[in-house]
Amino acid sequence: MSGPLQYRSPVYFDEPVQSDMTASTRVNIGAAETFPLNTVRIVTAGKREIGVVRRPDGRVEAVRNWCPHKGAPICKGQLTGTALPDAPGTLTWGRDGEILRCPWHGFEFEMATGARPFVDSRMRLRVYPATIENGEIWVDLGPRTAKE
Amino acid sequence: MNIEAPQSQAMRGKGDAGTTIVDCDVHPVVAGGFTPLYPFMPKAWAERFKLKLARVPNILPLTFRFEHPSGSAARHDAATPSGGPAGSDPEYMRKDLLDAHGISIAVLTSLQAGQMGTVIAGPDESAIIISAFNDYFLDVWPLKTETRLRLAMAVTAQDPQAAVAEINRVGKRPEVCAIYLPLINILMGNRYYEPIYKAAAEHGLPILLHVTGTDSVHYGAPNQAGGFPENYPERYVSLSQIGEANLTSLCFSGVFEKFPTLKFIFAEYSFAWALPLMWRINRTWESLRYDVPWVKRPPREYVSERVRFSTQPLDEPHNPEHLKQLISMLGPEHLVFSTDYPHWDNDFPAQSLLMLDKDVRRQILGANALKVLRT
Repeated sequence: MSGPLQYRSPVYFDEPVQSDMTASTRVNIGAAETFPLNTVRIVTAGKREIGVVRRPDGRVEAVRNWCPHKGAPICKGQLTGTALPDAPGTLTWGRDGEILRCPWHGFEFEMATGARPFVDSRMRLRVYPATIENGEIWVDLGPRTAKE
Repeated sequence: MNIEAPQSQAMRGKGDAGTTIVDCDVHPVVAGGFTPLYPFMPKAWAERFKLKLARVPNILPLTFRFEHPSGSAARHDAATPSGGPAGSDPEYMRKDLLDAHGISIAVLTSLQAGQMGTVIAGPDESAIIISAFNDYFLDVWPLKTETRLRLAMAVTAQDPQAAVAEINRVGKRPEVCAIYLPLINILMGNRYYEPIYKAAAEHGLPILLHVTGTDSVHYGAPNQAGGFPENYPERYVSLSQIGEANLTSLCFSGVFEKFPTLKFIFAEYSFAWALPLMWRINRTWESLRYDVPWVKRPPREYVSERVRFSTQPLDEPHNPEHLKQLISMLGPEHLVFSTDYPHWDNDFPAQSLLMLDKDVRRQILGANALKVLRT
């Protein structure tokens, strides 16, 4: 769609941080058992704060504690579900525990992918690959980018 | 129906020859109070109104804070040749509006009917009176032969079932192009109106909104925000608040999902306000979609598809380019032209939107309206 009432989500807004990268971008953030299931725990990785969720099936999700909308500490928001698009008057709960909702403006992001559910937007929450190896959680902070 | 663009007219804008001009806001008047309406009412109701010395509200108290400062919102120079009220003679309207300004289609919206349909008459009375107004225009006015004149049939807002009956009664008439819904103080997203929306959608007729004159005057009519305006200009400028409130209500209510083909025309609320309002509506939806999950798509998409704003009264910024820029930002596809004949604050084609590119202006003058009116 072009023209009409054109509204785009705010452009990606990222925190300027000092370079803290070493040759390795993988960081050990601690023993898996110290991360409660299905709960966001905020840890520091390098000079970043990241929110980490350990799932019962062994998956680990990690996101930057920085809402791309206006820089809020999003990991202090709610890890929750949401109301799925449905018919008028019908309230359908879904995606339980998969959605991270920012405590400031309410923007919702998928904890696993960083995408915004049900909103067509280029805005993404920064996610980091994370795995459990020998009982320890490793987060890959990825290559440095100009934004970082 | 055939829609023909007149070939040459004295008052046409430069380069407008051959352009189809659709005027989405014209006000016909029934002269002579209720008397001409009595033949179109059941006898018992006619006798009731005679006993009440009923008259259409052309006669005001000695003074009234919202009376137009010149004495009438209707143009003094648009009085009919026989001295009747402006808008009361279809032959003169043909000459003074259609021919003079090259109008291909004029949408007739009776504010007299609207006032009765909102709060002045009671619920049963309003249904009877509105049917009489509709029949008067369909049968007494030459709509069958002068096909440039089309009727936005009125309905009562006080009794949705009666409104549905009226739509089913006359909504199929080819002279009818829209449904004029004179609002009461229930916002448009409220399910109260759903029977009317359903009937309108079934007939392929858009809902046309227009202030009635009862706004901020009578209990039960829509009121402007913040308090009671003190004079005509104050009320006049802030009437767009009612448009804003109702557009917001439509956007968050799910009406667009419930009635996926229904279209709306906001007549005479102008449009400059719609741009920042839609920014805010969309921005809020991005944050709080989960509170209104029935709004499945960004509200701007529904509005772009199904809501149109009439251009009059055009704002006139010091630099006309600013209005051009605003229209570009809003999207010209949202706008339909209107004169508001025979009222004082008119915009006629020859003087309107001349700063726009030719194609955009042509779109607003006629093409957009043909996509929303039932023609």
